[in-house]
Amino acid sequence: MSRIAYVNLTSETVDIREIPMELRRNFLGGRGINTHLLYEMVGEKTDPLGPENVLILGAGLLTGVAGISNSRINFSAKSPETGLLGDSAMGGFFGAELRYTGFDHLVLQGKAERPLYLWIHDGTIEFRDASSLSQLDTFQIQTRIRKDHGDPKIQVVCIGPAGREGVAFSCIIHGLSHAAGRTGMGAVMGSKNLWAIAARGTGAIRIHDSEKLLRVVEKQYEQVTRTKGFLASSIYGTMIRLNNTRTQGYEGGLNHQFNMMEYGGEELDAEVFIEKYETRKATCFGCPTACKHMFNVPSGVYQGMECEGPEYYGCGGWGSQCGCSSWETILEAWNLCAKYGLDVGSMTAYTAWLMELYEKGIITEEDTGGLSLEWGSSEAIIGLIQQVVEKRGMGKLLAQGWIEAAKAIGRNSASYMDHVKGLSIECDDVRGHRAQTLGLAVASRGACHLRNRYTLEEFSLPEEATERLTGRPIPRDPATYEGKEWACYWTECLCSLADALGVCKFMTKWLSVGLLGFEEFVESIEAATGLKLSPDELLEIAERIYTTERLFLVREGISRKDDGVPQKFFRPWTHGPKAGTKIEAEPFERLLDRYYDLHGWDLNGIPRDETLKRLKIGESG
Amino acid sequence: MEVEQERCTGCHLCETVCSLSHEGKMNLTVSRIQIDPLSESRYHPRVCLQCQKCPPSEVCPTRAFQWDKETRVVRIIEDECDECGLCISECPFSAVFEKGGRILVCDICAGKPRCVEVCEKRAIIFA
Repeated sequence: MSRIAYVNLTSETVDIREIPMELRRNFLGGRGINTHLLYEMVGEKTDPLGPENVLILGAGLLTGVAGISNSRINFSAKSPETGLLGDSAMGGFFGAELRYTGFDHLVLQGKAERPLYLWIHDGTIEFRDASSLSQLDTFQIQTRIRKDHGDPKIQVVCIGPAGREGVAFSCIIHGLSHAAGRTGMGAVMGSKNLWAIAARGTGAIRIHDSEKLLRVVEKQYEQVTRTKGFLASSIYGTMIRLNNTRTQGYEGGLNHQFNMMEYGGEELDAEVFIEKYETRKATCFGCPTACKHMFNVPSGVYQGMECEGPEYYGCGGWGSQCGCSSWETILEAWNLCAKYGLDVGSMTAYTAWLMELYEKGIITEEDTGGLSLEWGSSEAIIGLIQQVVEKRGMGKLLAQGWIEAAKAIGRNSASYMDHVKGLSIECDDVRGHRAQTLGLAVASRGACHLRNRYTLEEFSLPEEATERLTGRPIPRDPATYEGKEWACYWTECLCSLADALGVCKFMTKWLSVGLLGFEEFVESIEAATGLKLSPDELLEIAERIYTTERLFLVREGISRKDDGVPQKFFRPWTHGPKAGTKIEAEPFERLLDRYYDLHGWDLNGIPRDETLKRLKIGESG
Repeated sequence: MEVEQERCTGCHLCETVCSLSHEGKMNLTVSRIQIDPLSESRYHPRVCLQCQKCPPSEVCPTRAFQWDKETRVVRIIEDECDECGLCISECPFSAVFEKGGRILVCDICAGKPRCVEVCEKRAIIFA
């Protein structure tokens, strides 16, 4: 069975519908079907925090199926943080469990009259009173629900105090550190008075050819576990990027004022964390990597604190971007964000932004509720998190998102926030990599490395290798603009497919050439579902997903004028082996022209009619 | 079979391939290995360890549950099993399971356990 449940929280009713085969063929599942539904169900007048917004959960077509890291589920809604496309993928175990209950997608509509949680088990969706969860953090909620139902195998996604209080960048948490982090999906869930969704399924996912799938799994397992990328991920996880960006000069420092810090920064290398704090590895459904870390702080102010994480962007975000060199502060900040349900990507970027405003004298302690926002200050980093959740001091403004906060602060404060389409850019500084910079400029949910980042650009692969990999040669020089439209487009397609299938991108060629790609997806899809799709057909599906997201943005008024990067990118890197590199306006604009043309969008970034007809979307759908 | 509980990360890959290979289904509840959560990121794999002294085989009233001396592997003659469930309660490692009236136990996949093949962390070992 392959089903979508339309859950009306206002009337507490559920309408269950089969997923039509045509929808599967056109959008697969996960982010693909979510995008289609979201485009159809909300419009430019939809208030992101109003009952008319929908929150859509979509497990990938392969989520829960035997395979390498088939764990992912996407959460999509109109974003309260950016006012545009909201979409965030989560790993862990919830996506698989949801599919075992008999549901692939949930469309949450309306607003509950009282705090509720959904209890989903084997084909049934129940509305349960959640008033007893209203004072609990995300960890406590999950423990409580499992205890109340007497089943430790129940998987829960939930919001914490941040989501309940409507903080614009609050996230949805599962386990200790799996998060639908970016674009404020937790605030949308909170606006619907929905505190949690608990799932326990003992059913089956129908498999087309189990023997063939078994062979595919065994083959892909061998393939994946032999790669260096796998080995590095299984030791360091995403933290490996701390070392890479620091030594190669693009870690990004002090709210992107510098491409790297003047001090060494070795104290924040992954090895230090592993030696001092890591206690064991943790993983997601079906993933042999176990790239996540359980940690314990053995001494100091936070002695005894245990959690799972942290990921690279939290370490770099509070690290070089806020000038903090204390692992223990970063670990405590990570732990608090997970418990409260705050997006680490935004929290780190907002903190760095406010620290720069403080440095420049644009805000003072009068604005910050007495908090001194000195670079690197542990009190500032932890204090701001507390202020946001308690909505006091600077946190009261920040809770509405940076756009509203900047309006209230005034004094040109918005120009110090590095963002694309309202979403803050991540901690590393990619201006030396042209495909990656293009990726930030055009990413459909706003600045994001998980939409389209051509990470392989950093390895300067020979053109023969990139031609074998992507079908077209890509120049090996990261600083050239030529051919980078294809690099970005190809990665966009790979990422869209990974999200539609529910496969973790860290197990794909996004991370390393030996991992999974289009051909492996073809084998897995056919064995698991019977759908026969060629790599070219998969590329077209990916294009359809991405252009549907573009249509959503165009309807909100987005066009070429919004496909840019912050002004800082046009200034040269100040330090390190590649000092002097910067984005040049003219070649970057031509790169953008070529990128639009690849997609079949016009020079203003609007999809052409013939493109919509070819993809069978929009009014042609 | 040996289990090194501390190494298990709870990825469930073992259960997925077991379910596929034995039942042709994607359903973790029919897997002959079960991964129980203990606390966050800690898991306990339950699978038949093929003990030489196998209590379920000794108490089975119909002798459907057998420990084969030649192959040194547990097997169930399904036609002779009356589903009394005694084997489940007698296994000291709680590694005999029931689903839909059928008794399920690991048969080591004819000498090459598929769960072991995909256990990267070596939490389950076949020697």
